[in-house]
Amino acid sequence: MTDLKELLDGLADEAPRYDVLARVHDRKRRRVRTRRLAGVGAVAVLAVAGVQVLGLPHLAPSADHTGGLPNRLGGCEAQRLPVPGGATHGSMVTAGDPTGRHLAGKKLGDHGHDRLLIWDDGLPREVAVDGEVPFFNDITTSGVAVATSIIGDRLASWIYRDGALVRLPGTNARAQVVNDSGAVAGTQDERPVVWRDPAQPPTALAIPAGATGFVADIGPDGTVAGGITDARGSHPYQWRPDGTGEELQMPDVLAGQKIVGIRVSVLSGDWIIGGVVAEVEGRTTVLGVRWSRTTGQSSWWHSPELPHVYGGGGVGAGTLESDDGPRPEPGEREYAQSSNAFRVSGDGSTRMLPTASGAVLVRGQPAAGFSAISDDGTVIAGHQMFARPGSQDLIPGAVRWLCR
Amino acid sequence: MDDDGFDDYVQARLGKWSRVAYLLAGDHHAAEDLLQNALFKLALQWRKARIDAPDAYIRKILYHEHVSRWRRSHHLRSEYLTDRMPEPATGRDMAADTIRRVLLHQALEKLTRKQRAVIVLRFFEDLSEPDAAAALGVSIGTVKSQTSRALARLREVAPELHVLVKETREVPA
Repeated sequence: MTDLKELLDGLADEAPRYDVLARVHDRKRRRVRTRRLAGVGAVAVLAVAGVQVLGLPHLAPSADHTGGLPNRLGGCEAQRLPVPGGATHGSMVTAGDPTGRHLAGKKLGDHGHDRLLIWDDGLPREVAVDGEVPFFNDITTSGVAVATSIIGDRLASWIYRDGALVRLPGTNARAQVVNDSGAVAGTQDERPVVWRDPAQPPTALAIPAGATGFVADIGPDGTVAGGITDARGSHPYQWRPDGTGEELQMPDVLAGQKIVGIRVSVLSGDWIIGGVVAEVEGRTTVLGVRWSRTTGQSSWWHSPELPHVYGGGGVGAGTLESDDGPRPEPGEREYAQSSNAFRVSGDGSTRMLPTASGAVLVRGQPAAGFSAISDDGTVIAGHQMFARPGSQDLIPGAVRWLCR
Repeated sequence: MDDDGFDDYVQARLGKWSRVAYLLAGDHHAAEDLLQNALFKLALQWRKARIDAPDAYIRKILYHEHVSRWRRSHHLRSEYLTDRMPEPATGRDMAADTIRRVLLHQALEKLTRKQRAVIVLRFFEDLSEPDAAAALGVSIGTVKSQTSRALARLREVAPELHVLVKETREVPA
């Protein structure tokens, strides 16, 4: 019987000798670190994508690494969200509703003993759940939410309604999205499933033979948006309430081009919104795409990078790839003096996002992780990194961006 | 240039540390980066301080560097980049070992950095709990709990490896 050790050995066999000695000596000789601001890289990336750059930050190079960066920029303000009892190990937003009023997330604890949190208009409250590493995956306008946790070595899924968490039946099934009527969709063994009735085990959504599937959102009528992955790659997909499914076609402009990856984010009204990364004439191109659920027609716009998440109105938020200058020495950090976090609208206009007071930006690292955007694009949520009090460690902190 | 044996050490151990870096990082580019950073740090210390146990020293740097690099949340929903998907087994025989390797590769991606580190330390490097704790700069209790959590997570995310991981000797409490 093969054991884990043998398997790891087998995997390690894929590694060649990485001949890095010459480069190590070269770095030793140079040792003068070239500091290139993340903002410089940002301009280059935006230019390649052919996007009009609006309001790139212009920052004094003397900005301190904490507190020196603007928390207002381009019509948006970044605010660190409060956490009851403080958060020694950090906090993060993991989901939000289409209005931006309800944000769901967690306060991190020792060894996975995290506590679930819901912020209502910025005011937090804790939600107790059994199990470790709890995680809110989605929350609706009326405050219905779904979460997962690990109990023993099993994944447990939960629906949160009227102040109570109720465990959903099903083995190893992951509840990922929920609508206001409490219909839940998720995955079980990489197959999409729905809980039409939270008291009953989930039922599978049809996928083509040999494919796997994932879900991204569920509409008020029970339509599920998501995707399938088969031998050709990944494709956006929708499952109608009657159980039939169909693939959403790529925009014509991408006909014959290599699709590198897709992200399906949200279903809003007649629209399913996501992003596509493609190779067009040898260049990586990122498009935001809006598909009509009824006609299958799509419209698209340029994006500087694939946003982490899209809102129902087509606004996306993400981070620009950093420049590829020399990395800081291990054990040391170089602080970035401008943010690489951006907000892209459905017309392709892009602006940089501000930094919450006290957040630490590390060169070469994303300035933020985004998990939720309201339909109107005025509320964006996720996390940035902050110094743990009295230590050099960085911990995540829940952050909300309010935009005009 | 007199490097007091640094080059000899690297040449002798490069294969081993390449393998560890690859298991930690998951792809060649990141592994090369990780290893280069660790060796650079070692090089800076090599002549300043007499290093009696360079293996232990570089291990500490490698794992620390691996664990402390934060990336954006892996929990972003619907992240599904096709270039990260395994090659589908189309028609051609994919040896059972290859399939298992692909599954393990995918499953390791779903562990936290710390969980991944304990798996590599305990099951690939075969280190004892105290040695793994020393490498990570954490308590033995943390190594124990991270190991059992990592194994549980592997079972959860790769049910196909369930039998395999279950039959692996569990770390005695």
